[in-house]
Amino acid sequence: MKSNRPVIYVVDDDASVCRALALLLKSHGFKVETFTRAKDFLAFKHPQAPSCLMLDIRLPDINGLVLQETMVRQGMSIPIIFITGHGDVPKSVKAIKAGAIDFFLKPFTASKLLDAIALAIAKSKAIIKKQNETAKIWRNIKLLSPKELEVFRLVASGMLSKQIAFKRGTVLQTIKVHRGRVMQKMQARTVTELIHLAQKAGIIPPPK
Amino acid sequence: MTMSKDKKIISKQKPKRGVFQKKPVSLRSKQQIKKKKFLSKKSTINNLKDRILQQTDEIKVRNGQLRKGAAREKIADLKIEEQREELLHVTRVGKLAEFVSSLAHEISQPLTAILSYAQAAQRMFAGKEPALQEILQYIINDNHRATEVIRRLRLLLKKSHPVFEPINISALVNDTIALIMTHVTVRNKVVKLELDNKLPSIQGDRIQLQQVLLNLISNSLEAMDESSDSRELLIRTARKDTDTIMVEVQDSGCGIPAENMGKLFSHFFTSKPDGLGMGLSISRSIVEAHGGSLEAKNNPGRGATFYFTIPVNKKNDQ
Repeated sequence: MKSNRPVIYVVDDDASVCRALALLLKSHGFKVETFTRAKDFLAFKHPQAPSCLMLDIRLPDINGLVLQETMVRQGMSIPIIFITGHGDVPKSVKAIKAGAIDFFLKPFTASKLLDAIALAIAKSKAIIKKQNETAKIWRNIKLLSPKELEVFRLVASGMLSKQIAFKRGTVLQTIKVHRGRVMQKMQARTVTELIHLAQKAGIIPPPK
Repeated sequence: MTMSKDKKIISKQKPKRGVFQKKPVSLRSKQQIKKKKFLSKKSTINNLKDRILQQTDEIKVRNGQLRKGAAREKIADLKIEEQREELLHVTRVGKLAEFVSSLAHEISQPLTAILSYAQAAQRMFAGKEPALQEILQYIINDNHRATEVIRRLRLLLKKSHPVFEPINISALVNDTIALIMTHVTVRNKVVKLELDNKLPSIQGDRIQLQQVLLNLISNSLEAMDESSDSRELLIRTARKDTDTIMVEVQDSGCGIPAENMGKLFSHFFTSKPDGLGMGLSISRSIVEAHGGSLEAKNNPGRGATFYFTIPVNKKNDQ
């Protein structure tokens, strides 16, 4: 449970800003990791915990907005709160549109920051929950035999057992057996549940 | 032109002389010829004289022209120099916004750190150490004030419109003094106030005018830093005439050297070793944006006085 304590990452080229924010956030019970370069942040081994990134726009190595894009590409889904010393409106719009939680002009008060962090952590928890679910579904999918996997796909896409049997050129009984094993391995009680699991795993497209 | 004419005259005379030699000539005519020869010689000399005089005149004119040309070139040089300086100035002013923007960033970094340190300490000592809590709160308040100054400075350079509201200038002076009082006490100076509390209100931006006052006051304090016996800072508000109020900040410091008088309000002019030369130029533009003027003068005794006028708010004035 200890590893579930939220982690706040601070990336700012000013060492004093990093230290001060770390002190402030630690006093509010957060675990804090600070970096003065974006590269160090990317190289860091991120623990599986709800987290939030406080990111300066102007960094010596990578621009904060570019880092945001890099993180999206690398599948790093850590909610971002931008902090900047420049009152740059176009940049803030761009950052928010790209999914940032908030955009603060330095200096900012603790109360406003903590509100944004609470929002970011909640979002992070939701992301982690979803990731865990998907991971669990994929663990189950890996247990399926190739034939079972095919039956899983066809059932999830809405085909009846009879249709599947006709398509596969086998008897209904065989399909029913496969289907039973799929339900059991995927830990699904109903077909609806099975379809949901397939959607979450990305095997079939999500409902419109 | 004159030269070729002379040549023609000389060549015409030669054949004539030949004709005379063939003919027998009387004494009288000989005398006449002599006279003629003499005359012609005289005329040639006169001609030459004229020519020389003419040429001398020409040379004189040319010389004059050359001299004028040189003078004109000098004037042109000066003009170019002036224009260059003007251009430099315009460039500097143009870069002011850019400069202030990066300055604001540089200052916002330590302000962020200071604010976060203070708020962390506040959290750590929550419910304990009331004296410490109070100091922390002062740090946070002043941090907000500095932040507000930066914000306004940015806005000012973006030429955005200030927030105008009716202001009692004497009350504003009192508020401003409260902000800077620790500064005054630390420097062992004394502030004397002569505030007219019956002044009509003016229409203005509170924070911008406070910025002007703070700037003038801190300049005065610095001017009095050098000697410990110049201690007194006097701030006076008064009605200048029916339409204008006046604020004076009078120090007893080193005064303004005559050569600096004209440049005081120029952008980037500073007499302080670590000054930026922005305070007075920004203050003047703020006062002018309020329809007033900001000036400086040396006192009859010692020190200098900076004074500005602001038009009375017609709407609220009875």
